[in-house]
Amino acid sequence: MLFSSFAYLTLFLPVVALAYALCRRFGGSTAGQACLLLASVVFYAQSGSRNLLLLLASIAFNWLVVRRMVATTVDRTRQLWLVLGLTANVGLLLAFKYLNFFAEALPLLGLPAVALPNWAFPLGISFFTLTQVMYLVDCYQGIGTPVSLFRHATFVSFFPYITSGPLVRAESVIPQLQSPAAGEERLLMACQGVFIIALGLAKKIVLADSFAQVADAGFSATAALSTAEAWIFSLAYSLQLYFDFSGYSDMALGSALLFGIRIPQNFNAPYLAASISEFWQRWHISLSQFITNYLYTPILRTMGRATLWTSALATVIAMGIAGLWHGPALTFVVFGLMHGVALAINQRWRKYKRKLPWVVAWLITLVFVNAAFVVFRSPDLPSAMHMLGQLLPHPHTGGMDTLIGVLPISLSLVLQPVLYGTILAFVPLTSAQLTDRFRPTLLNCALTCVLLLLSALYMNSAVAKRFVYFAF
Amino acid sequence: MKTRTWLIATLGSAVALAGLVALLNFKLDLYGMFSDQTGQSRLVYGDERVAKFLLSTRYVPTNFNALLIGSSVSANWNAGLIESYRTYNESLNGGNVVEQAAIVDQALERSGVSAAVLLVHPYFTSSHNFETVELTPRIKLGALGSTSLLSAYKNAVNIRLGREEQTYDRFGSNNFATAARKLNPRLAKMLAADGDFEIDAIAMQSYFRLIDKLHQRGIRILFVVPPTSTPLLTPKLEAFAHYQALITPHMAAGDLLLDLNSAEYASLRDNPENYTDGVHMRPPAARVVVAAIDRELGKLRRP
Repeated sequence: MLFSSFAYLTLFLPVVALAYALCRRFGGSTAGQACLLLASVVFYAQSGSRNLLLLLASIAFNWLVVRRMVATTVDRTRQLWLVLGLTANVGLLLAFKYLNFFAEALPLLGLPAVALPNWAFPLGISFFTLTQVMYLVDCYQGIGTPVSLFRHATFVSFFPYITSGPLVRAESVIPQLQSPAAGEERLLMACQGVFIIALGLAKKIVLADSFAQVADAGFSATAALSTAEAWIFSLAYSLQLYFDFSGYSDMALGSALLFGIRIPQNFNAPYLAASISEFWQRWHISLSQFITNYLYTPILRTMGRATLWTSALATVIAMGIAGLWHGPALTFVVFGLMHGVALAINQRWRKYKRKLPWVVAWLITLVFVNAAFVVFRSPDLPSAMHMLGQLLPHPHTGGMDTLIGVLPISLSLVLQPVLYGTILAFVPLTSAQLTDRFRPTLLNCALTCVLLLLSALYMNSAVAKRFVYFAF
Repeated sequence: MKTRTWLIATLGSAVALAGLVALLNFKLDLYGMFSDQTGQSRLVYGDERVAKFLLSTRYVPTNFNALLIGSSVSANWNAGLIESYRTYNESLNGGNVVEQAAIVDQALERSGVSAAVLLVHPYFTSSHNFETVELTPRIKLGALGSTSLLSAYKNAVNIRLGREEQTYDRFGSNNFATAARKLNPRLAKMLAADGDFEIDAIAMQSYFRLIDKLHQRGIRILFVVPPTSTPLLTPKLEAFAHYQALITPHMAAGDLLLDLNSAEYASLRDNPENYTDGVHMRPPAARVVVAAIDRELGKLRRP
């Protein structure tokens, strides 16, 4: 069920919010939690009963591993349980996402080809697996506390973030499940929730889907683009991805706020970053934190002494893995490696303590990020190389023939959102800041109504596109 | 404002606003979907595809008993001049058979249509993509409020204020520009290439399914091969013949074929003044074509 569907917004979410409020009022926080768990199960079951069984099995397994791990004080045994848990989680991801990818690579290494079943991977598997990896590691390190199966299941399956994040740590959500906000504070959170859902919905439906029309049209006709067209199409995709994913994250945040639960923000005006490391502090923040804490740091530790070189190598490896996490394709790996190398260069540059003018640093960052997203978007590496080549100045610089040929006939419906979106992407005020500053005023009431109505008009105009990150 | 008041006011206003917009559009009924359409006159506003799709749900089957199905090649053929049948021109600019089939499906949901004029031209089966929006029944909801409806209103107001010209008539025909112009790149490429025409397999299957569907509904079909100007036709004569040969086996007893590329219509094709680009016809020539169609349609009426 898409957050940006009428079914979710006009039926599922209001019914669950109402049921939750009633459960809380008459049955306390445990009844409220039970309501959330049931709602999450119903939400996830929409993606198929096989997927639901897998999710429930994964939840039960991880909970059991943590119980056994914390039940012993013997380090070696605790470590074994951790290794078992991590192996099983990585194995699950491998089985559903990467087995065929690696099997297809065997002939390239001179090994015989192996035919494997091609399982469609369950919705949100990358997210609920990583959430539980964090839980396992946190409990092993003593940062996290084991909880009951009921709480663990509610936390992992919570429908606002199960399909596409943000990746949340148990420590930040479980206490809120146990003693959620009440009274006036809860009402204010509900108001903020409605407000940020309206913002996120407009970002996704009005802006992202309009950029998608330009980007999809462009990336399907890359044969002979002018330099200008290549930049327009690639930037359109970069902006589509931003509005799509940040719109989704806003709606996830807003949905959780309706139940009195705050989950961390995932975006903070990423296209204003003036370095790659700053970009990753602003883009998919929860993933960046996961990479730093659960990939980069352990990798660096295994290398012994932390030097500039080992740190750079750890960065490249961690980002390569993070790239692969997006999906079983070389384009994703290269995307991750590109960012890894750029981050390593950025670390080195900071050692020299030479500062570039902000505009120059910002422009370099933006150009690089855009180029990396070209690789991310392309169906394969040759196509990515071709598109990247088109971005460089070449004899056919300023023509717009392809753009005119591939754009939809109903241009006016696309051009206005694209124009506004291009400006909004570079405004430093984020949805999270707007929500923090939110006050229940008449102006905010009007703004929310207008955004909801505008989104409804766009939703009713075409079948809503899936969120890009549903694919990962 | 108190938080509780804000929450109730915001959600209540949003729902009320959405309801009001839907009610207003229901009352205005731009596409004639929510009221009896007998004797009504409706024009195309906004996106041509969405408009013809929605007009075909009620307005077209109520007021017309024949459909002209085609692409831009037939879009400016004045269906209002056809006397043997009350004909609505469903043709779309840059349209393909998949889009047309979706529109025809709407028109066939109600009884009323008993004849069809079906274009036989390779452009019509050269692609299967929806050019603007995917024409699914879900679009009908858009008649209660959508961006395409907004742009249709904008278009209607601009026409009323004289800022834009209404090129469509109530028969669905589009009287587009008559100035000489370059042939569109896809058509130019198609007509310049050696050998047979490239055919999109999905589009061709859709074409055959459309023929079957019309036959199943007892609708008789007049297949029309539009006249292509002599300089463009001559090098592609064989390709046109091969293309036509793919379709004629699907004709049923009682169907007719009007080949405007035949020798009988040579004078029409020889005169470059009859065309804007060698394929699309100027109004006087289009009238000749329509008269020929009318004659053939008259024969369809006779058992």
